[in-house]
Amino acid sequence: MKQRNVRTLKKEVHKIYRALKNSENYLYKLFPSLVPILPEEIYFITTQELENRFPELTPKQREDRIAKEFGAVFIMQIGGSLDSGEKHDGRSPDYDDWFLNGDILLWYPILERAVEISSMGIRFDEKSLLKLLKLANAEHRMALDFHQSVLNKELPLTIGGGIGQSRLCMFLLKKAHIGEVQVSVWNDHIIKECRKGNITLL
Amino acid sequence: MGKPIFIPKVYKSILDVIETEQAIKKIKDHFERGLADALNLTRISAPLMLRAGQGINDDLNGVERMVTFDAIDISNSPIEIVQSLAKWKRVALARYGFTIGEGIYTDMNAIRRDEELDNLHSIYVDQWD
Repeated sequence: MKQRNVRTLKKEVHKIYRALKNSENYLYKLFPSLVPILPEEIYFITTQELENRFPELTPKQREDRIAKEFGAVFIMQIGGSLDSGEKHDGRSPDYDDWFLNGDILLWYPILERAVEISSMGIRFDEKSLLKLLKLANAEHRMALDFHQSVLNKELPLTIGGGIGQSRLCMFLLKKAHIGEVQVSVWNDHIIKECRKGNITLL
Repeated sequence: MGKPIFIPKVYKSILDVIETEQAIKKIKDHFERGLADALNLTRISAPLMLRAGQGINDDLNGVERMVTFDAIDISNSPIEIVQSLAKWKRVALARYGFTIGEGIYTDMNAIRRDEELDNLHSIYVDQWD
Protein backbone atom coordinates (compact mmCIF):
# COMPACT_ATOMS: atom_id res chain seq x y z
CA MET A 1 0.00 0.00 0.00
CA LYS A 2 2.82 2.37 0.93
CA GLN A 3 4.38 1.62 -2.43
CA ARG A 4 1.51 3.15 -4.42
CA ASN A 5 3.44 6.27 -5.36
CA VAL A 6 5.40 7.89 -8.13
CA ARG A 7 8.71 6.75 -6.65
CA THR A 8 7.78 3.11 -7.17
CA LEU A 9 6.60 3.86 -10.69
CA LYS A 10 9.89 5.57 -11.60
CA LYS A 11 11.93 2.81 -10.02
CA GLU A 12 10.26 0.18 -12.19
CA VAL A 13 10.66 2.35 -15.30
CA HIS A 14 14.39 2.65 -14.59
CA LYS A 15 14.67 -1.15 -14.41
CA ILE A 16 12.82 -1.61 -17.69
CA TYR A 17 14.92 1.05 -19.34
CA ARG A 18 18.09 -0.66 -18.14
CA ALA A 19 16.87 -3.91 -19.73
CA LEU A 20 16.25 -2.04 -23.00
CA LYS A 21 19.75 -0.57 -22.94
CA ASN A 22 21.28 -3.98 -22.19
CA SER A 23 19.51 -5.56 -25.16
CA GLU A 24 20.58 -2.69 -27.40
CA ASN A 25 24.22 -3.25 -26.40
CA TYR A 26 23.94 -7.02 -26.72
CA LEU A 27 22.66 -6.66 -30.27
CA TYR A 28 25.45 -4.22 -31.14
CA LYS A 29 27.98 -6.90 -30.24
CA LEU A 30 26.26 -9.40 -32.55
CA PHE A 31 25.66 -6.93 -35.37
CA PRO A 32 28.16 -4.03 -35.21
CA SER A 33 26.21 -2.17 -37.90
CA LEU A 34 23.37 -1.65 -35.40
CA VAL A 35 24.90 1.28 -33.53
CA PRO A 36 23.20 2.08 -30.19
CA ILE A 37 21.26 5.34 -29.92
CA LEU A 38 19.58 5.17 -26.51
CA PRO A 39 20.74 7.83 -24.04
CA GLU A 40 22.22 6.83 -20.69
CA GLU A 41 19.12 7.78 -18.70
CA ILE A 42 15.40 8.12 -19.32
CA TYR A 43 13.77 11.50 -18.63
CA PHE A 44 10.54 11.87 -16.63
CA ILE A 45 7.83 14.45 -17.27
CA THR A 46 4.10 14.70 -16.60
CA THR A 47 1.52 15.49 -19.26
CA GLN A 48 0.73 18.74 -17.42
CA GLU A 49 4.37 19.80 -17.42
CA LEU A 50 4.44 19.03 -21.13
CA GLU A 51 1.38 21.16 -21.76
CA ASN A 52 2.85 24.03 -19.76
CA ARG A 53 6.05 23.80 -21.71
CA PHE A 54 4.52 23.51 -25.18
CA PRO A 55 0.98 24.93 -24.98
CA GLU A 56 0.94 25.67 -28.71
CA LEU A 57 1.59 22.05 -29.73
CA THR A 58 -0.81 19.13 -29.93
CA PRO A 59 -0.21 16.27 -27.46
CA LYS A 60 1.31 14.15 -30.22
CA GLN A 61 3.66 16.98 -31.26
CA ARG A 62 4.64 17.47 -27.62
CA GLU A 63 5.58 13.82 -27.37
CA ASP A 64 7.72 14.04 -30.49
CA ARG A 65 9.36 17.26 -29.29
CA ILE A 66 10.29 16.00 -25.84
CA ALA A 67 11.37 12.58 -27.14
CA LYS A 68 13.61 14.25 -29.69
CA GLU A 69 15.14 16.43 -26.99
CA PHE A 70 15.90 13.64 -24.51
CA GLY A 71 15.98 10.47 -26.62
CA ALA A 72 14.00 8.47 -24.07
CA VAL A 73 11.16 9.80 -21.93
CA PHE A 74 8.53 8.50 -19.58
CA ILE A 75 5.39 10.59 -19.92
CA MET A 76 3.39 10.40 -16.71
CA GLN A 77 -0.26 10.91 -15.76
CA ILE A 78 -2.17 10.05 -18.91
CA GLY A 79 -5.95 9.90 -19.14
CA GLY A 80 -7.32 12.84 -17.17
CA SER A 81 -8.01 16.42 -18.28
CA LEU A 82 -5.18 18.94 -18.26
CA ASP A 83 -5.47 22.58 -17.09
CA SER A 84 -6.49 23.56 -20.62
CA GLY A 85 -9.45 21.20 -20.38
CA GLU A 86 -7.96 18.96 -23.07
CA LYS A 87 -6.82 15.39 -22.51
CA HIS A 88 -3.29 14.40 -23.40
CA ASP A 89 -4.63 11.04 -24.59
CA GLY A 90 -7.48 8.69 -23.82
CA ARG A 91 -6.81 5.86 -21.39
CA SER A 92 -9.06 3.00 -20.44
CA PRO A 93 -10.59 3.53 -16.99
CA ASP A 94 -10.37 -0.21 -16.50
CA TYR A 95 -6.92 -0.73 -14.97
CA ASP A 96 -4.51 2.21 -14.63
CA ASP A 97 -4.52 4.78 -11.92
CA TRP A 98 -4.39 7.85 -14.20
CA PHE A 99 -2.20 9.68 -11.72
CA LEU A 100 0.33 6.86 -11.47
CA ASN A 101 0.70 5.69 -15.06
CA GLY A 102 2.69 6.55 -18.15
CA ASP A 103 4.21 5.64 -21.50
CA ILE A 104 7.84 4.94 -22.36
CA LEU A 105 8.66 6.82 -25.55
CA LEU A 106 11.87 6.54 -27.55
CA TRP A 107 12.96 8.98 -30.23
CA TYR A 108 13.17 7.12 -33.50
CA PRO A 109 15.26 8.90 -36.12
CA ILE A 110 14.32 6.48 -38.93
CA LEU A 111 10.73 7.69 -38.81
CA GLU A 112 11.52 11.06 -37.22
CA ARG A 113 8.99 10.51 -34.48
CA ALA A 114 8.56 9.12 -30.99
CA VAL A 115 7.84 5.41 -30.68
CA GLU A 116 5.83 4.14 -27.73
CA ILE A 117 7.51 1.01 -26.43
CA SER A 118 5.41 0.53 -23.34
CA SER A 119 2.22 1.71 -21.74
CA MET A 120 2.10 0.94 -18.05
CA GLY A 121 1.03 2.01 -14.63
CA ILE A 122 0.20 1.28 -11.05
CA ARG A 123 -3.21 -0.37 -11.15
CA PHE A 124 -6.07 1.25 -9.35
CA ASP A 125 -7.07 0.39 -5.80
CA GLU A 126 -10.62 0.66 -4.52
CA LYS A 127 -10.29 4.39 -3.85
CA SER A 128 -8.70 5.45 -7.11
CA LEU A 129 -11.13 3.22 -9.02
CA LEU A 130 -14.09 5.22 -7.74
CA LYS A 131 -12.36 8.51 -8.55
CA LEU A 132 -11.40 7.27 -11.99
CA LEU A 133 -14.83 6.02 -13.01
CA LYS A 134 -16.26 9.37 -12.00
CA LEU A 135 -13.66 11.24 -14.08
CA ALA A 136 -14.32 8.93 -17.03
CA ASN A 137 -18.09 9.18 -16.64
CA ALA A 138 -18.12 5.42 -16.52
CA GLU A 139 -19.63 4.73 -13.11
CA HIS A 140 -21.84 2.03 -14.63
CA ARG A 141 -18.71 -0.12 -14.92
CA MET A 142 -18.69 -0.44 -11.17
CA ALA A 143 -21.17 -3.30 -11.57
CA LEU A 144 -18.70 -5.46 -13.56
CA ASP A 145 -17.20 -8.49 -11.84
CA PHE A 146 -13.66 -7.24 -12.22
CA HIS A 147 -14.43 -3.84 -10.70
CA GLN A 148 -16.40 -5.43 -7.89
CA SER A 149 -13.40 -7.62 -7.08
CA VAL A 150 -11.21 -4.53 -6.81
CA LEU A 151 -13.77 -2.69 -4.68
CA ASN A 152 -14.00 -5.71 -2.39
CA LYS A 153 -10.18 -5.84 -2.21
CA GLU A 154 -10.10 -9.37 -3.60
CA LEU A 155 -7.41 -8.54 -6.14
CA PRO A 156 -3.81 -7.65 -5.26
CA LEU A 157 -2.41 -4.13 -5.58
CA THR A 158 -0.11 -4.21 -8.53
CA ILE A 159 1.75 -2.46 -11.29
CA GLY A 160 1.49 -3.62 -14.87
CA GLY A 161 1.89 -2.87 -18.50
CA GLY A 162 2.85 -4.20 -21.85
CA ILE A 163 5.99 -3.98 -23.91
CA GLY A 164 5.51 -4.39 -27.63
CA GLN A 165 7.74 -7.16 -28.97
CA SER A 166 7.54 -6.12 -32.59
CA ARG A 167 7.94 -2.46 -31.65
CA LEU A 168 11.09 -3.28 -29.72
CA CYS A 169 12.48 -5.39 -32.58
CA MET A 170 11.65 -2.67 -35.07
CA PHE A 171 13.41 -0.07 -32.95
CA LEU A 172 16.53 -2.11 -32.28
CA LEU A 173 16.81 -3.31 -35.87
CA LYS A 174 16.17 0.22 -37.19
CA LYS A 175 13.34 -0.89 -39.45
CA ALA A 176 10.94 1.46 -41.21
CA HIS A 177 7.80 -0.67 -40.83
CA ILE A 178 6.52 -3.08 -38.19
CA GLY A 179 5.71 -5.56 -40.98
CA GLU A 180 9.46 -6.07 -41.39
CA VAL A 181 9.64 -7.83 -38.02
CA GLN A 182 6.26 -9.61 -37.77
CA VAL A 183 3.96 -11.41 -40.18
CA SER A 184 0.55 -9.82 -40.45
CA VAL A 185 -2.09 -8.88 -43.00
CA TRP A 186 -1.85 -5.51 -44.76
CA ASN A 187 -4.00 -3.65 -47.22
CA ASP A 188 -3.05 -3.27 -50.90
CA HIS A 189 -2.08 0.37 -50.43
CA ILE A 190 0.47 -0.43 -47.71
CA ILE A 191 1.87 -3.38 -49.65
CA LYS A 192 2.36 -1.19 -52.71
CA GLU A 193 3.90 1.72 -50.79
CA CYS A 194 6.30 -0.58 -48.96
CA ARG A 195 7.41 -2.18 -52.22
CA LYS A 196 8.08 1.24 -53.71
CA GLY A 197 9.96 2.29 -50.56
CA ASN A 198 12.27 -0.75 -50.53
CA ILE A 199 10.57 -2.10 -47.38
CA THR A 200 10.34 -5.90 -47.20
CA LEU A 201 7.20 -7.08 -45.40
CA LEU A 202 7.60 -10.56 -43.92
CA MET B 1 -7.74 3.52 -45.89
CA GLY B 2 -6.23 4.52 -42.53
CA LYS B 3 -3.30 6.80 -41.86
CA PRO B 4 -0.70 7.35 -44.55
CA ILE B 5 2.47 5.41 -44.04
CA PHE B 6 5.81 7.11 -43.78
CA ILE B 7 8.43 6.06 -46.30
CA PRO B 8 11.94 7.25 -45.49
CA LYS B 9 13.52 9.06 -48.46
CA VAL B 10 16.33 6.58 -48.81
CA TYR B 11 15.76 3.34 -47.01
CA LYS B 12 17.72 0.17 -46.99
CA SER B 13 17.34 -2.29 -44.15
CA ILE B 14 20.63 -2.74 -42.32
CA LEU B 15 20.13 -6.50 -41.94
CA ASP B 16 18.89 -8.75 -44.73
CA VAL B 17 15.82 -10.93 -44.22
CA ILE B 18 17.60 -13.97 -42.78
CA GLU B 19 19.74 -11.84 -40.46
CA THR B 20 16.56 -10.03 -39.43
CA GLU B 21 14.87 -13.30 -38.48
CA GLN B 22 17.93 -14.40 -36.50
CA ALA B 23 18.15 -11.03 -34.75
CA ILE B 24 14.44 -11.06 -33.86
CA LYS B 25 14.94 -14.33 -32.00
CA LYS B 26 18.07 -12.99 -30.26
CA ILE B 27 16.30 -9.81 -29.15
CA LYS B 28 13.23 -11.60 -27.89
CA ASP B 29 15.20 -14.13 -25.86
CA HIS B 30 17.64 -11.59 -24.46
CA PHE B 31 15.17 -8.90 -23.52
CA GLU B 32 12.64 -11.32 -22.11
CA ARG B 33 15.24 -12.81 -19.78
CA GLY B 34 16.61 -9.40 -18.81
CA LEU B 35 13.16 -8.05 -18.04
CA ALA B 36 12.11 -11.10 -16.02
CA ASP B 37 15.33 -10.96 -13.96
CA ALA B 38 15.16 -7.20 -13.36
CA LEU B 39 11.54 -7.24 -12.23
CA ASN B 40 11.48 -10.68 -10.62
CA LEU B 41 8.84 -12.03 -12.97
CA THR B 42 7.71 -15.58 -13.69
CA ARG B 43 6.40 -16.41 -17.13
CA ILE B 44 2.91 -17.82 -17.07
CA SER B 45 0.77 -19.25 -19.86
CA ALA B 46 -1.36 -16.66 -21.57
CA PRO B 47 -4.77 -17.17 -23.10
CA LEU B 48 -5.31 -16.48 -26.78
CA MET B 49 -9.08 -16.41 -26.25
CA LEU B 50 -11.52 -15.83 -23.44
CA ARG B 51 -15.14 -16.59 -22.78
CA ALA B 52 -17.09 -13.46 -23.74
CA GLY B 53 -19.04 -11.30 -21.34
CA GLN B 54 -16.90 -11.61 -18.24
CA GLY B 55 -15.31 -8.18 -18.40
CA ILE B 56 -11.83 -9.73 -18.34
CA ASN B 57 -10.84 -8.96 -21.90
CA ASP B 58 -9.40 -5.50 -22.43
CA ASP B 59 -12.04 -3.16 -23.87
CA LEU B 60 -9.31 -0.75 -25.02
CA ASN B 61 -11.26 2.48 -25.56
CA GLY B 62 -14.59 0.71 -25.42
CA VAL B 63 -15.45 1.20 -29.08
CA GLU B 64 -13.16 -1.27 -30.82
CA ARG B 65 -14.82 -4.45 -32.11
CA MET B 66 -13.36 -7.67 -30.78
CA VAL B 67 -12.86 -10.79 -32.87
CA THR B 68 -15.61 -13.12 -31.70
CA PHE B 69 -16.50 -16.64 -32.72
CA ASP B 70 -18.28 -19.72 -31.42
CA ALA B 71 -17.06 -23.28 -31.04
CA ILE B 72 -19.01 -26.38 -31.92
CA ASP B 73 -18.75 -27.90 -28.46
CA ILE B 74 -19.11 -24.71 -26.43
CA SER B 75 -22.71 -23.90 -27.04
CA ASN B 76 -23.65 -21.34 -24.44
CA SER B 77 -21.02 -18.67 -24.85
CA PRO B 78 -19.27 -16.78 -27.61
CA ILE B 79 -15.48 -16.67 -27.47
CA GLU B 80 -13.31 -13.57 -27.85
CA ILE B 81 -9.72 -13.23 -29.04
CA VAL B 82 -7.80 -11.26 -26.40
CA GLN B 83 -7.00 -7.58 -27.02
CA SER B 84 -4.63 -7.35 -24.06
CA LEU B 85 -4.26 -9.10 -20.73
CA ALA B 86 -4.28 -5.99 -18.52
CA LYS B 87 -7.18 -7.18 -16.41
CA TRP B 88 -6.63 -10.90 -16.85
CA LYS B 89 -3.14 -10.64 -15.30
CA ARG B 90 -4.42 -9.08 -12.12
CA VAL B 91 -6.88 -11.91 -11.68
CA ALA B 92 -4.11 -14.41 -12.45
CA LEU B 93 -1.83 -12.81 -9.84
CA ALA B 94 -4.45 -13.49 -7.21
CA ARG B 95 -5.14 -17.00 -8.47
CA TYR B 96 -1.51 -18.08 -8.50
CA GLY B 97 -0.95 -16.70 -5.02
CA PHE B 98 2.04 -14.48 -5.72
CA THR B 99 3.20 -12.19 -2.93
CA ILE B 100 4.64 -8.66 -2.74
CA GLY B 101 7.67 -8.14 -4.95
CA GLU B 102 6.90 -11.10 -7.19
CA GLY B 103 5.22 -10.83 -10.52
CA ILE B 104 4.21 -12.48 -13.74
CA TYR B 105 4.63 -11.83 -17.42
CA THR B 106 3.12 -13.40 -20.49
CA ASP B 107 4.07 -13.76 -24.11
CA MET B 108 0.82 -12.38 -25.43
CA ASN B 109 -0.64 -12.49 -28.91
CA ALA B 110 -3.67 -10.38 -29.65
CA ILE B 111 -5.74 -9.29 -32.63
CA ARG B 112 -7.05 -5.75 -32.75
CA ARG B 113 -9.24 -5.62 -35.83
CA ASP B 114 -10.06 -1.92 -35.53
CA GLU B 115 -6.45 -0.78 -35.29
CA GLU B 116 -5.59 2.01 -37.72
CA LEU B 117 -2.63 0.69 -39.68
CA ASP B 118 0.59 2.65 -40.11
CA ASN B 119 4.34 2.07 -39.72
CA LEU B 120 3.93 1.17 -36.05
CA HIS B 121 0.47 -0.38 -35.95
CA SER B 122 -0.58 -3.86 -37.06
CA ILE B 123 -3.79 -5.77 -36.36
CA TYR B 124 -1.52 -8.46 -34.92
CA VAL B 125 -0.15 -7.39 -31.55
CA ASP B 126 2.61 -9.29 -29.77
CA GLN B 127 3.48 -8.06 -26.36
CA TRP B 128 5.22 -9.03 -23.17
CA ASP B 129 2.21 -8.24 -21.10
